[in-house]
Amino acid sequence: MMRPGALVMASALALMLAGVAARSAPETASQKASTAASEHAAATGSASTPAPARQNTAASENTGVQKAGEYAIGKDNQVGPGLLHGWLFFGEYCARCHGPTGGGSTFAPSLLDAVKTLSKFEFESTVINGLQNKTTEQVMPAFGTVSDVVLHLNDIHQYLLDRADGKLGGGMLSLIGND
Amino acid sequence: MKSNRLAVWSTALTTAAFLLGGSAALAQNQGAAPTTNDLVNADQHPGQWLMPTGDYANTRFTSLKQINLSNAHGLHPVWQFSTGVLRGHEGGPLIVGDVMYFSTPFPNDVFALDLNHNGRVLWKYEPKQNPNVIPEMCCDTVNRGVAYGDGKIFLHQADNKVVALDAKTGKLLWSTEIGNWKVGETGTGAPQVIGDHVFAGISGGEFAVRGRIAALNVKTGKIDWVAYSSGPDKDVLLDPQKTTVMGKPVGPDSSLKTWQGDEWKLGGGGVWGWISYDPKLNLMYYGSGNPGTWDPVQRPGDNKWSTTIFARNPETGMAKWVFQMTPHDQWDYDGINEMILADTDVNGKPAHALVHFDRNGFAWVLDRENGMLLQANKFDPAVNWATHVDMQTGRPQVVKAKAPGDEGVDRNYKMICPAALGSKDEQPASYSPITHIFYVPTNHVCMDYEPFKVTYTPGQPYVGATLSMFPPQGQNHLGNFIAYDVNKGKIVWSDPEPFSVWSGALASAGGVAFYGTLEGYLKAVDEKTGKELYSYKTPSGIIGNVTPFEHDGKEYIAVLSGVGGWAGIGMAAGLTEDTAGLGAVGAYKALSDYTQLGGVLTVFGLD
Repeated sequence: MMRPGALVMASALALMLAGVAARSAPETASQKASTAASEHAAATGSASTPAPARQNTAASENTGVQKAGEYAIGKDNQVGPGLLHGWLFFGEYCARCHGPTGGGSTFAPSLLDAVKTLSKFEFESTVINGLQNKTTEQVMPAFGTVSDVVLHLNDIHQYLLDRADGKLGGGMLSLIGND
Repeated sequence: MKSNRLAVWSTALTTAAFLLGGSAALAQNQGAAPTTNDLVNADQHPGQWLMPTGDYANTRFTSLKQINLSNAHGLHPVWQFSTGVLRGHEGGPLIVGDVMYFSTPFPNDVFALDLNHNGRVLWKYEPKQNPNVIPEMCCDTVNRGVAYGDGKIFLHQADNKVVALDAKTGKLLWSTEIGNWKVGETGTGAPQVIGDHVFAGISGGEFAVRGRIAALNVKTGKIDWVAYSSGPDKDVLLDPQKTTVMGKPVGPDSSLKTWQGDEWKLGGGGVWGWISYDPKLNLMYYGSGNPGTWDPVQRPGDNKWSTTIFARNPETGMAKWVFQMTPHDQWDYDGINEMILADTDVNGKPAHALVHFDRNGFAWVLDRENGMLLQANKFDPAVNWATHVDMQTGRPQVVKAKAPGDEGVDRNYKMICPAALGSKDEQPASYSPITHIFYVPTNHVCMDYEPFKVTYTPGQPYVGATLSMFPPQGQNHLGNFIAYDVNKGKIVWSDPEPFSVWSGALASAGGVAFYGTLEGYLKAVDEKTGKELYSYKTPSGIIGNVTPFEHDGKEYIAVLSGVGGWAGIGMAAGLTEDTAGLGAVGAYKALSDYTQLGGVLTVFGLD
């Protein structure tokens, strides 16, 4: 159960980020700060409707989640291990440029838009190979050698899809069964 | 143009010499700027501010007293200067003679302003830095200021170049790279000059760097020694027999023994805070940051010497003593906050004390000669990760339920106080040798903490934790400005602030203490009671340090505005108009309702 206070703070943080940080350079979405970020949707409980598991590959590492599918969405921002890891590694590697909620910054575009327009293959290829924008010379680094990212591409992609669809807020997630 | 500047400088020097009339060094060296020797007696030149923390003891105290209890209400802005840079403006200006020097956040421009002409620009240094450095910085693109010595201004750039600029002209004299930003080693701290060396440390505890401090020759920029925070004794500059911890030799491999496998190579222990120095003992003091990843499960052991106070000989770098404050850190409690050197009573007995208000919420008081622990009390009653410090071992007694990782990764450990920001972060406290009281800007914030396993890739974050932050249960404010008595080991008074107080404090002989707030207020309060005497809202939130100086016989107070830093981005953002859920925050408005990004220096004075 997420504390109401945390929800409030998380929600508030997102508003702040929308209002200030996102307009400043992207790196304002510092790793540390971004880990605490969320969007209003998280606080209003948009993710509270349980969804059927899309995959039923049981999680092997955590006994608390064996009942849940990899990408299950439960109550109170509790999710299956795949979505949890998608969120965690998004926060670790993507958020510092693409914003703590994936909504983009002045430094890099919204991934919530990109994930809807790119095919899964295009998404993976961009993450692995990086991107060079010849007009602005901004560069997205290649993550092909970052094992946490490569090994969790499906998780990150599914997390972003659920974010883009509004099934998940940008807030703190925990494993189904974690009290 | 150039000759005009030189003429101005010449006037500045004359005034400097006048202000420094008591200095024998200057008397022999007419027309010269303050020498490195003058830094030792910085507290005897109250009109100037020769180093970021005011003096080697890091007291941030001024003996100026024109601004005092009877007239502080009459303060007002005298002139302002836009830095031209947005983002978090930590640190503050130096005052050398008639010239004010300060640095900006990335791109780390340095300004020399003429105090004779309301801050006219004498020179500006604009480093050329690769913007790809920016994503390698964890907590905003801050720079905590420049150092002065040997007629030079020293800057530690984000890209880890330490540069020496001619104080008169801004000309680049030398540049030395002390770290590799491509692997996440960055520069954010203010350098410090001691003797023939300028010291600068590496930031990047969130990128698995091996934290270290470098001693550079002030004349040439040559690196004379480097001391790591983790690794073999020869890297950490420890003598297994002569270096002590709590009065006993540290023994061989004292760091390596406390890490599993090669994890020490990703050891963290960044050095990005303030540096103090005791000329009589010839010891310099600083702290190291958090160990490696924030996932404690990946690095069993005490992880020495992260979160540690080091006392080192500045010429050789060898450590005389060490003291670790948060063994096996599970909370991101860096130990980098300033070490204030105070000769004052502790527990009723006179002491040559080192006083350190740590991220972990304890005010550590040690004998600065031998590193023996004298006192360690909480300076925020909300602190709940440990019950107390065992005075025999020096170890905080950890509360298991508040220890992330103790029950594995991917779990949410809840309601831990303080948050990763600490009960206090880099914002330096002040100490008045008149009242013998410490004036401390603090955070009053708790967190939920969820660790997860990460794999190291050079230049990528190595955090492995996610967290959310909020005020202590049932409370409605995120900061306090407190007065703390180390003799009794307790808080004297506490002024609540809606947001973390992330501004360096100033104490004064006038009986007035100063600090800034995240909403942008510069405040003056009575040192005895905490009663507010003056408040003025500057254009952006204040995370800079309040700086006093005297010019043409009048006292002034200067401070940088420019919200940002870790607090300004993530933390302060945590309070907005959403009042549902936790009633205690009902009175709050978003920080963005109070202030916006900015970059302005404001100078206050009396009529």
